[in-house]
Amino acid sequence: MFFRDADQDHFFRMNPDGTGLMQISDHPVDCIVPHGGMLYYIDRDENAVMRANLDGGNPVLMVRGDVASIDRINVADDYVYFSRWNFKRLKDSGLYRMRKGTLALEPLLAGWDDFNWPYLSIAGGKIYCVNLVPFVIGQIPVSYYRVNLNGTCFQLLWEASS
Amino acid sequence: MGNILPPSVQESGKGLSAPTRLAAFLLSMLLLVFPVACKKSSGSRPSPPAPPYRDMAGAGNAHNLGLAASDGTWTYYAFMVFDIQQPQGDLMGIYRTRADGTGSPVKIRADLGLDLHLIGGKLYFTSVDADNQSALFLMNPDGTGEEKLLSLEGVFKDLTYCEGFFYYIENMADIDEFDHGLIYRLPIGGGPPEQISAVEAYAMGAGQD
Repeated sequence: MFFRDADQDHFFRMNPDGTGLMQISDHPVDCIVPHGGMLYYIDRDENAVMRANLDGGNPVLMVRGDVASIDRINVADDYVYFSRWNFKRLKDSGLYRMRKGTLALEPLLAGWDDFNWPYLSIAGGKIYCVNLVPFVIGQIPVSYYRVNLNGTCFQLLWEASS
Repeated sequence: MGNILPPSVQESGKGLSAPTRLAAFLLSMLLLVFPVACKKSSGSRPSPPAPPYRDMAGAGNAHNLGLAASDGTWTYYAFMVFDIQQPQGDLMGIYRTRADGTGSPVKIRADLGLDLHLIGGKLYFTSVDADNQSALFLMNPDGTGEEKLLSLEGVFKDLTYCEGFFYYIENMADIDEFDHGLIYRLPIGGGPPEQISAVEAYAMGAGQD
């Protein structure tokens, strides 16, 4: 199992019983997802989606956020799903997926026109997504929708009143 | 309950992942708006889950509020809404719908539940208990037989499942702090939680799809 420690923001792995603690890197990481024999995560220093061996070795940069912020990732089948938000170029903001093997990038829902910091849960062939906006002391949901893994069949489940 | 400052006022990295913190905040707000009774369903106590204990929710959902889980036939999803202008607490809850999209969703729990895991024919989720504590529950897939497994002083964060154990961070962050807490594991078959980290963690990943 893998974690980012709260003191130094370093990336560690250890056995499921807590033994064998070993530092993987000194980068702050987030959204750590073991999947299909590989490890996927966001490197906040690089603002990038990364892939590594299950022991944390051989890290490979899959996609960088550049001026956009990569918010969150999830993994299903042959794809890594992620969201990014670019307040300067809103048309580049949205939900994307990247094929794990070829790193081909595919926009699913692009051009969000609002601040978005979505959570992306995947089940039953669909992405369940909550979008958030800033609130007084944090964020609150403004919309909840689901969409097929290929971006089709968008269904708005709920939207906050304007 | 942790801080959920917007990313624009947070330092790089920290605070960009706070599903449980958000959930805790929402739950606390919802408790103010919609008193949660956390009533147990009237069904019988669920039997222990049957092996193999394979989680039907992907490991990546742990960082994404655990909004949904599916066994391929049925999909279970949480409905989390929060609208100050127009409270819609009646929508809140856990729903079950056919994965093929046919039929209508059925609400199987009236109160909020997040961190959905479908293991051994049982649905596991986090919510708040009658004492307002973050708690892990299980119930039958039809919503009957709800039972509390564990409640925390802190808040569940990054709850995930792997080979017979739930793993989680017990987030002890205050409202003005970043997430932090020790890592524990809880045997799905019963028994007390076991602390497995000597240092506090901010984010965690476990499991294997």
